[in-house]
Amino acid sequence: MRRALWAGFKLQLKLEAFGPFAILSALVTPVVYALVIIAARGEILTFNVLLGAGVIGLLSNGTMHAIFMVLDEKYDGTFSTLAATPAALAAPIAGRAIGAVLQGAVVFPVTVVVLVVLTRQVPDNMGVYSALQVLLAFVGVMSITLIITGVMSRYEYSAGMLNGMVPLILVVSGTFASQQRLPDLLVYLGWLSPLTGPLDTPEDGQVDLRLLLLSATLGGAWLAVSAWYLARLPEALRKRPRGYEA
Amino acid sequence: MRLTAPYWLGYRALFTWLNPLGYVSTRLVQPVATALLFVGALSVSAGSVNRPVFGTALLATVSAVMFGVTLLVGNDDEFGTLDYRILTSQRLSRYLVTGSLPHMLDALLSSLVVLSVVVLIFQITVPASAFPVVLAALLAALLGGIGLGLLCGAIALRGVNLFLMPNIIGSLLVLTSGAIVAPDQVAEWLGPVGTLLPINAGVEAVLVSLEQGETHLAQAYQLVLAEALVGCAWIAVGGAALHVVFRRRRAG
Repeated sequence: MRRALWAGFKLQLKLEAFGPFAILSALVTPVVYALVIIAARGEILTFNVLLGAGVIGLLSNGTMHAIFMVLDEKYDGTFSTLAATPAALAAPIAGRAIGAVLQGAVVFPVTVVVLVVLTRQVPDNMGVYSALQVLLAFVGVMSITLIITGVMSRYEYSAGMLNGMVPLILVVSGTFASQQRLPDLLVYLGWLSPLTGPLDTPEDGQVDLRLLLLSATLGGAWLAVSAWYLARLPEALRKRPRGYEA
Repeated sequence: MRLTAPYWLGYRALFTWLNPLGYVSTRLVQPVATALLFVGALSVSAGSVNRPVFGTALLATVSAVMFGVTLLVGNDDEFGTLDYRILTSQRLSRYLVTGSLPHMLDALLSSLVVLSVVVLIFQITVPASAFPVVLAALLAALLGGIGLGLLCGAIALRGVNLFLMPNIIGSLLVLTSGAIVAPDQVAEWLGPVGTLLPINAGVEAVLVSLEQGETHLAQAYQLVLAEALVGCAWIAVGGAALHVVFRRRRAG
């Protein structure tokens, strides 16, 4: 199990570490979004914008690679081959998904540096808990990516099925602006998101530690759910073999 | 029906719409959520949000057609039907026009949904006199989407990943087309770049009709015309690129 997980992780980095999609989704997209927001608001670079941009990079990179990776593995017949062996079916794709998120995490500091250089500003509202916010955002993105990987793996013709999820999760989680401005339904959805805690915080950086701890609990719960969901993949595909198709 | 049936079948088979959730997620949820992200983020500042509201609708139009036309060409190649198509007596222009039509309708539907949702959520008042200009701008933006899609399709046929160019151009449009922010507000040198891209003139047309009223409708329609001309120029560029790639493939 651990060897299969590790093999998937190494394969992902070997194939995609410096691929054009990695650069585009993990670096270019978040920088573009942040520059546009800063310019349109006519304001300085804040930690909230930096973190929002970073999460866009992490989530875009993680989900985009998860989608391509599942399709590739299905086209290559990996799923059906593994299903006929005692090997853990979910382990290699989980390893690849984890690799994709870690790849984005490595680019996160680069995004920060690029934005600081381009705007010639250093965010001055970084609070005591900023590092914790970044960590929670990372945990949240990891759980979302693993769940998306699990969903993609279960269904046929799934390529476009989750395209809308990334911007929707970003909106309800309060990326760049509090989700309290949204309709009630979206606000309630936001409460379920593991990213709302780290992202939807006051502009002055005065974060409520209790809310962050609550968010950490939610993030941990989502991570456990995502691991459980992926572990049930072989059983799900046995019941619904059409899921083997790409 | 005889004329359109194969294209309708091709439209469904070549894309991911065999799964209805794929359609809803890609054509409706994604553009609406992207619009909410930008409009929500900019509604916290004091200025008007008219630009991102209508700019994101135009962005949805151009993106939907661009991705659609890119996939029209790219998936035809990937599934092995393009070579047969090239070798038949069917004219390239007819293939592209008929193949693009479903995507144009799709894009219009998508952008109207985006506009309706954003206007309702952020309670934005749109004067009746601006409706025709908005619709004309959306129609004009379709042309730019087709042109960019043809170009991306031609590049994909040269071996570049099918999704790479549309995604790069998508980022470029967000930054420089004026859909979210006037390009020269981001960087002065981006102003001229923005004028060469679709959306820029279209969004200015809508802003003129909204902010300066009926007295400036002529100016608004001139800008719509400029948007259509920019779109036609991109169709010429994309069509020429595709023609060259097709000719090489036919020869080799």
